Amino acid sequence: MNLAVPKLQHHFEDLPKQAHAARLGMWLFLASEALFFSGLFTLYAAYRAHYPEIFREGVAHNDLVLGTVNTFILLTGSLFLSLALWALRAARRALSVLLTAATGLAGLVYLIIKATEWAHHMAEGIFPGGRGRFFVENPEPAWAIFYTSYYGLTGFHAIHVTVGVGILAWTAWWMHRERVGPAAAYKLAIVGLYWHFVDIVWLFLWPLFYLLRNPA
Amino acid sequence: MNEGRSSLKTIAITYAVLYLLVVGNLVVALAGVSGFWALFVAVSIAGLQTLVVALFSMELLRSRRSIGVVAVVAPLFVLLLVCLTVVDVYTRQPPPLEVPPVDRSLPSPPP
Repeated sequence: MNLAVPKLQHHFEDLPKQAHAARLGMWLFLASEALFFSGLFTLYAAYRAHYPEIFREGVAHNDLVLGTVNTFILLTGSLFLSLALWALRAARRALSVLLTAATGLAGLVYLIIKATEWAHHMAEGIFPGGRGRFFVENPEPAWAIFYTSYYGLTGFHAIHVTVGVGILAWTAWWMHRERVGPAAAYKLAIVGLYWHFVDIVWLFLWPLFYLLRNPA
Repeated sequence: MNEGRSSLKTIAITYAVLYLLVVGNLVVALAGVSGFWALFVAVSIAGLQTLVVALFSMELLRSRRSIGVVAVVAPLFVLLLVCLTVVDVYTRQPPPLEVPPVDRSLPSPPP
């Protein structure tokens, strides 16, 4: 039995319809994810509108270099995944496996840098929920709000990256074992949809937590 | 209809544009743009990047309309939620987000 060709489920007329249903399902999932993140972004927007100065100082306190490096890493990961999908459709399975694994590796590097950044914050006494010596020295409540939204948003994003890395590793392994071939490239495309969405979320987090730092 | 199937050229142009937009966002921030315009430019660039990623990397441009409906409606709901909440926070009196000061001082040692 050729595992690289997906099995047509009995409730679909043909493979293109089955692939479309899978893609539509992922898009609906991503729509719900967008609504989930929008709640957190709204929280940030509302408090930034209320405490613009401390939010600006908070952004200036974050490490612009690490945040920017992470932006390039995630974008490069997305590039690798787009190329992996192209390679799989062109029946270049080995190259596709390599590029998918490279995408997962990019995600892993992102997580290591993010963890390093959190470690720096914690060394300064900045913990989620406004706990730590930093908030004793800076008792204005907006500082606690800024860093709690920072940990909340980047934390949930990091959870999504972690899940993405796991799925990418699994998909690369499946392709390596010839369980996903050109006929089932839509499966890699669906993984790609998730990964690109995670990338989009970061493209908003990066300016909000690293760029908007200039005094008015 | 074949869904997706980006060419190498499309991929190359897409990511060249995305990298340029990242650099553009960084340059605007380093140039010292501040206040409302900084926020406007940063979020606009992020929105433009989202559009490029959705249309080309996520192959929305070559997807069926049922997917297009989801991709259009979801951001509209997001925009609605963010706008209405921020407008509410800006305009309500008394301000809804006043947080009472919290005593975070360390407990004093026993006598």
